Amino acid sequence: MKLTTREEESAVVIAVAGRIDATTAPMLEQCVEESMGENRNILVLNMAELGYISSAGLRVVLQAAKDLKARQGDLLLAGLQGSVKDIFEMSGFLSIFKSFDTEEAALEQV
Amino acid sequence: MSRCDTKTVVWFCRRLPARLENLSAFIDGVSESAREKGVGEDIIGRIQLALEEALVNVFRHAYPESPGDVVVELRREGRNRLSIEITDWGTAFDLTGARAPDLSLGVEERKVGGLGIFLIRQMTDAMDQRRQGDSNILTLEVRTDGTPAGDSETDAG
Repeated sequence: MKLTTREEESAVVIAVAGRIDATTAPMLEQCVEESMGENRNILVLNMAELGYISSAGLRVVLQAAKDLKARQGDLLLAGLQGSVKDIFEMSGFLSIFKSFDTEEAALEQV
Repeated sequence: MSRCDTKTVVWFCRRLPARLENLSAFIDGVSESAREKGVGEDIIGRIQLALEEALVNVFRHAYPESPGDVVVELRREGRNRLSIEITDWGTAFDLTGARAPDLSLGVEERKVGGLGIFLIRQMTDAMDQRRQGDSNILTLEVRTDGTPAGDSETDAG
């Protein structure tokens, strides 16, 4: 798994490439914790290069969303595709998260 | 159909300590074995997810006190099915009785976790769990003839 973090004016963008499994999910969790702060409570997760996610990854995404909501923030998903998008959909996550085709589209919404 | 088409062939079998650090060895080994035999990437992806969820469950729950092993076996069953058998010698854990997560809840209400078993069911076409002597054997089946798992009504539970 490769994580690339970028700070935009309106949001923090984390691009996740590769695989989020039970082994790598804690790295994403730590990255989210370190990237978000008092005035940075909008997170865009760019998953365009993500090829695999398991429940360990979904758990991190859901927990991050809960933490951000509690601080009046938000979590937006971008670039979901293929089997990863299928997993989000069957887990009911597409109806609870805002999901955009591209990172740019997500950033326009915040 | 010749006799060979109906027989069971073991493609992969490995025994390792039931620890998270061995997850990749199992996932990569099973995937490579299936790939070598020409199994499609979509099927391999489903097997990877079901196997990870099942193994993580064993890692977390099977051996609360003293460490133990887990065996993963990938088999071709006849022409159109693959089975993955996961055996441990620890505490029995009833996967079949686990409640499905409520998918209709919002972010705040939705519980973190509980998705693993749900995903196993979604990725596979059949699941069987049994206690044999002092071992727990979980068998997952995936059809390879293009029937998508999770689409049939029997998989919904």
